[in-house]
Amino acid sequence: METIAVYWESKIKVYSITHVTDLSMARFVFPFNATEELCKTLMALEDTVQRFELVTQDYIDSSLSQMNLFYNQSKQKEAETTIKRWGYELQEKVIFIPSLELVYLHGPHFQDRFGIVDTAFSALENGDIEIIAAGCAGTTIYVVIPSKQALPATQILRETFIIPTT
Amino acid sequence: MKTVLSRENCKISIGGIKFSEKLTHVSLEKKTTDDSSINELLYLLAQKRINIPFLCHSSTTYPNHRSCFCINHENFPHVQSLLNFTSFANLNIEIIQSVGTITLFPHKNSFHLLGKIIQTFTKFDFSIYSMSSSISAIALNTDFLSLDMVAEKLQEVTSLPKNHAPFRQEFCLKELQQ
Repeated sequence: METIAVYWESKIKVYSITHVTDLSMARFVFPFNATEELCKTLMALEDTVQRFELVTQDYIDSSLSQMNLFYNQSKQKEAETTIKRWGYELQEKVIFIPSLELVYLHGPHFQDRFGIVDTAFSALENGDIEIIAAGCAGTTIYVVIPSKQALPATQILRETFIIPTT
Repeated sequence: MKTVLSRENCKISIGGIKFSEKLTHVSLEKKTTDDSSINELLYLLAQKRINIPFLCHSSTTYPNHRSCFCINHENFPHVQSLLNFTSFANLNIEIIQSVGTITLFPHKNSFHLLGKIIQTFTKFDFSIYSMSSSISAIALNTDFLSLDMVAEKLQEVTSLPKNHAPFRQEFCLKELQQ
C-alpha cells in the first residue's frame, strides 16, 4: 500500500464538533437465532421512529450479541410500541434509557491516524464527563453522555481540538 | 399485468461500498465497573502509535462495561504484548485475528437499510463481530476472507451507482512525531 501523506499536528484539527440532545437509547441483547426478528423490528421502526441517530452493535459471545440504538426522544412511545409489537422474542431483553445526549466530531483521515480516540476520551474523562457509549468508525467519533452534559462536553472538545476558521 | 413492487422487494440506492484492509478485532469486558484499564489501554495504544480504525464502547451493557476495537493486523503482536501486562488481568479479552470492515454509505439514518443489511448477513450466515454508524456510513466487521462475498450479497438488496464497484483504500497515511 502506498503512503501518500506524511504530517504531524501539535493540536488535532477537526472539521466540526456537534451535539444532539433529547435522545433515547434502546439496548437489545439478542441470541443470534432472533436476528431475523430483530431485522423486522428495525425495518418497522422506519415507519414509526423514522430515523436513527447512532447505532452500535457488538458480539458478546458465540450465541449473543447486543445492539444500542439511539433516536430522538420524542419518538420514545412509537419505539416502545413498535418493539413490543414486533419483538416478541426480544421484549424481555430490551432496556430503554431516556434523556441522553450525543457529541460527535469528525476530522481528516481520522480512521488512519493514531491517538484521536484517546485524546477525545481522556479530555472528557478529565472533565468528569461520563461516557455512556461510543461509536467510532470512518472519520467520526460519537460519544453518548448523560443529560445536560452536551454543552460542557462540547466545550472541552473545542479546547482539546482545533476547528480551523477561514 | 401490472406488478407492484413493495418496499420489501425494492433495492435500496446507496452511494458506495468500501472494504478495509486486514484487521484484528479485540473485545474487552471489564470485570468491575470502576476498572479504568480500557482507558489505560487506549492511552498505551496511542503511545505506541497504533491506530484504531474502529471502536465501540458501552457502559450500560450486559453484564459489565464492554468495548471492542480493531487494529491493523500487522500491529497485533504489539497489542498482544500490551495486553499481557498484569494491569489488564481484570479484563475478559477475546481476539479475532482476521477481520475486515465493510462500509456502506450513505446510511441516510435509515432503519430500513439497517434491517436489510443485517438480514443479508444473517441469511447468508456471515458473522457481524461489531458495527457502528458514522456521520454518513455504516461500518460492519466480519471475517476478512468473506468481504467480497458479503459485498456481492449486499448488492442483492442495495443498488450502487453505475460504474461504481466496491473498493479498497489504496493508500495509507503516516504521521511523523515531532
